[in-house]
Amino acid sequence: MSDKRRPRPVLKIDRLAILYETRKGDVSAVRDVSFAIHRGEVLGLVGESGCGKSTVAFGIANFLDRNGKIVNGSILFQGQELRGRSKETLRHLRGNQMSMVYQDPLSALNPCLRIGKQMAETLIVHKNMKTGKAQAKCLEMLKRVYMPDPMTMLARYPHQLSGGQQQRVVIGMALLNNPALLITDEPTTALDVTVEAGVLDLISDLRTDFDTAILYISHNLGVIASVSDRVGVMYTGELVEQAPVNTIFATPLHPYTLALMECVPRLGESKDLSYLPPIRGRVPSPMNIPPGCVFEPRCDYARDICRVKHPQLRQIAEDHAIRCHLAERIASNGAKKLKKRTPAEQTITLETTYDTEEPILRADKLKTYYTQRSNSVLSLIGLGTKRHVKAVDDISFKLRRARTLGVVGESGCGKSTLAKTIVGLESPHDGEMEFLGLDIMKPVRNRGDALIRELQMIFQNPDSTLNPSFSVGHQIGRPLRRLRRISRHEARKEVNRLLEAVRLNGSYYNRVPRQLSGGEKQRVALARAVAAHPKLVLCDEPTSSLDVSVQAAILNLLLELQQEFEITMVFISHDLSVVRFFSDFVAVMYLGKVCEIGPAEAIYSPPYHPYTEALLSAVPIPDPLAKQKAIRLSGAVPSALDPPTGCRFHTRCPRLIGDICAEKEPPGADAGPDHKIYCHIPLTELRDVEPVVTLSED
Amino acid sequence: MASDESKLKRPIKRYAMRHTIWRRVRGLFAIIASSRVAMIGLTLVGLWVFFAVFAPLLSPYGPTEQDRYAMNEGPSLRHILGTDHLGRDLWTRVIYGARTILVLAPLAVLSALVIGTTLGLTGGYFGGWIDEVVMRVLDAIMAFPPILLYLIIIVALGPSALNVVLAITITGAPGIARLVRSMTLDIRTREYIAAAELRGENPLYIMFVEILPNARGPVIVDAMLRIGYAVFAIGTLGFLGLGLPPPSPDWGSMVATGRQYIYINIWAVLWPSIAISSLVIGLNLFADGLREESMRYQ
Repeated sequence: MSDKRRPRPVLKIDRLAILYETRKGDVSAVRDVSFAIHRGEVLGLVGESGCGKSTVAFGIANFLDRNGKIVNGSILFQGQELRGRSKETLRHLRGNQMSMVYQDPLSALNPCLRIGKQMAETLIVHKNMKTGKAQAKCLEMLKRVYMPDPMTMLARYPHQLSGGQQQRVVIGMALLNNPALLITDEPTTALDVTVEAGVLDLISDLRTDFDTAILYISHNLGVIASVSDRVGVMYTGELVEQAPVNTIFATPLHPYTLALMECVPRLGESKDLSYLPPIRGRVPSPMNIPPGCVFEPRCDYARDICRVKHPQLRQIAEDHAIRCHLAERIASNGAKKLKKRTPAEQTITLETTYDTEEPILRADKLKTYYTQRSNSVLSLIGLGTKRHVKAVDDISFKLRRARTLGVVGESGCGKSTLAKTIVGLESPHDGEMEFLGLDIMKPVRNRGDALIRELQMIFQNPDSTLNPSFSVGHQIGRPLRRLRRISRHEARKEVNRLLEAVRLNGSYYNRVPRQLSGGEKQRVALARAVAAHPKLVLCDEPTSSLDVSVQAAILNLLLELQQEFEITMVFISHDLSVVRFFSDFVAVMYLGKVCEIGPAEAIYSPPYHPYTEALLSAVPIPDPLAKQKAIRLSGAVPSALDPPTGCRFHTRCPRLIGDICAEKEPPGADAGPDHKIYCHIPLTELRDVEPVVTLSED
Repeated sequence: MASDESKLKRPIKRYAMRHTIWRRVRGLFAIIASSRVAMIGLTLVGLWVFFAVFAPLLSPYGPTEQDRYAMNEGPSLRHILGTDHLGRDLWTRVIYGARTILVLAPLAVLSALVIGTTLGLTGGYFGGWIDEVVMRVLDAIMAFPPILLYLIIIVALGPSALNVVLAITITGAPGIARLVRSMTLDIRTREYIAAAELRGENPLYIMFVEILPNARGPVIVDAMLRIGYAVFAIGTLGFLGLGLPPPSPDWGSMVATGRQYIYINIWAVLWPSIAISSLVIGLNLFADGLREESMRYQ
């Protein structure tokens, strides 16, 4: 390996194995992981939930719970063995040389201390610095993490900062002592896309500035592609492939890596062009690990030897390690070609003529405001001025039968409120809304059963979407009995039919939600939502909390159900690639207003609304060779209580043209059939903009 | 073929259903059995239940049978625990007293549970002014010291078994209502409740079928504890002379009447006091053990 010419690695893990002792027995969370990270290098550790990547991080940093034990292997940190040392020695060895950044910045910061004090604490404790000097260093560090207005930030409490700012503070704190190793465990998962892009830029810059070795753990392939130098793929506690980032994305060789790459929707494709091949089967439970290759039950290349013999990690090329018996065969067959990613322009022509049919769902100047309760005495008597959170402000759209409308936007843009308003869980303030020709401006309790039956919803969190006290069969059967008035006996047959439609076998009828995985729960929720054969289903980020391969399966399922039952869908998400894949029409929302609405291919290619452009440039693409513009938005999303005048986006717009943006609300410009852009910049100028994303050629 | 299959399916289905109910009961027992504390509590309570159920077989005397020649006697071969000032066998009175208490206390808690749960669910689910009104009424009730409230109710309505149950219900319901309300407030934010609303379910269905089964756990453990308090309350009421009218073998009133003769016969006071305390301790231990185990299970 090239290690001989390089200085010793900062972290060298060799055949690490960690297990947790539980009531039901010992669970091997990590079984065989080996890698090395050098200074100034980022190793991305990728894997789905349950693969053990977080456990590896905890093992290195000695944050394992009391029931976690390292049973094998060695952890060499700067040449010193960490395994088996006492807590005192570990503290001394790690001391200020190792830092960790977690997923949720708010829980990493002490809510009772000001930022300045917390940051200075790290220096005072580890380096015995005087307070004044420590504060000065903190200020300097805040500047380096591109924190706007650092002086004021030092005096603030964590809850007064936005998510992105908090994460920057945490990263800054981690780097204050100039550590040799920085471990980051999904640091950007909880952040919005544009904020995430900023933090990723920061991490890349810091790696060069500070020459830190970074272990970057994530399940998001796009993020890994943009930030890592080398990538390690984990599956069920083992490292199955390790290679430089370009190699692993261009020629992945392990079947799991291949499958993972293929089930991520890429920015350029739509549902008509390709299908997301999900990985069949399920991740094996840690109690039930197959004797041969762990991935064999789900592998398309499996041979007899895979069932019998457990493969070891071996070098197949200079810097490419792989754990597979058939690696050479896969390599020589030219690695099952990744589905050709054709550019967006080449697609089929959608029927975009405006008035072929009556739209099934129509909204006109829809407004949903939340009243903010003020606690002044005046408001008690009803005289105070009411303040409103303008969650949905003046939205209009039309949706035709059997089409999908994707709604995209970051947190706080009002997309969830829009969904809840359509479905009746929130009462709209003003405007018009029609469904199937009927007025639906009233809340759900005032709607008739016939209307309720036609309008259903799928929710975001699979863990709370099913009632834990009832069986699956009962919960799917309830809408059948209530809304379609089917007898109990008939209902049972229908439930079994629905279970089959969502690819769950009959044994799931009697299971309780506790026994199901996240993906399975979401399937049940899907079955429950389409049980009454509704005409419109709203999907509120149904796959956001699911693993990539599970997401692919659920998306495919949604497509199948849509075709089989001819359901119109409104698909809400913050993930632009998924929305692109799934929708016919897309609406981009910002602070309660629509910035751009039109057919999917039109949104993802010029002309763009400046916000759409910024969103597209921030999406992490799982292709390190793709060219992507780097437009970063300054500032934070303004509060919806007091939105900016004129165009809501003007405070952060990189293409601000002048006072008109702050004074007048932009009219909708027709950029094509069914395509409207709400911007003051003339269309001719917007059309000349280059595309944000250019994918690499095969 | 098809008919054979369906014939086969039905018995299997019934077996499967019984099997799962039985499995649940066994599961519950497993939780209890794994906590030593709960087992001790269960034993104590079980002992009293045994005495209460088999009372007629465990003593040759009746609870109101007087023996003029054996008044205020200490323990002897004929009267194992002694007699009271009217010559009644103390052992008999204690075990017959267990009967009343072991019926009244759970009954009182059950009725408090029903009322408290309904109020808590209503307040928690509807929110707004309904919640405010219900909560303030309950606050008003909770503001009274319980003993004072008992006094007021019993004095107003007269001493009887029913009124004792009523008194304990009124004092116990607010606490249960608060607990249920706080659980409802949390469960109401879950997405399956929104899904139920989207199906057009009416509020009663959502409260009692969707929310209540998920609020079961803490409420049951709380109710177990309350049975202990209820036993204690009944004893107190009896002691204050507000419980069941004489000559009923109410432990509390046994203590009260025996108090007059305490210098010559401590036994008439001692045994009922031990009875009350052992039953309360047993119930509390059981409830605590159950709570610990169910917490750990989660």
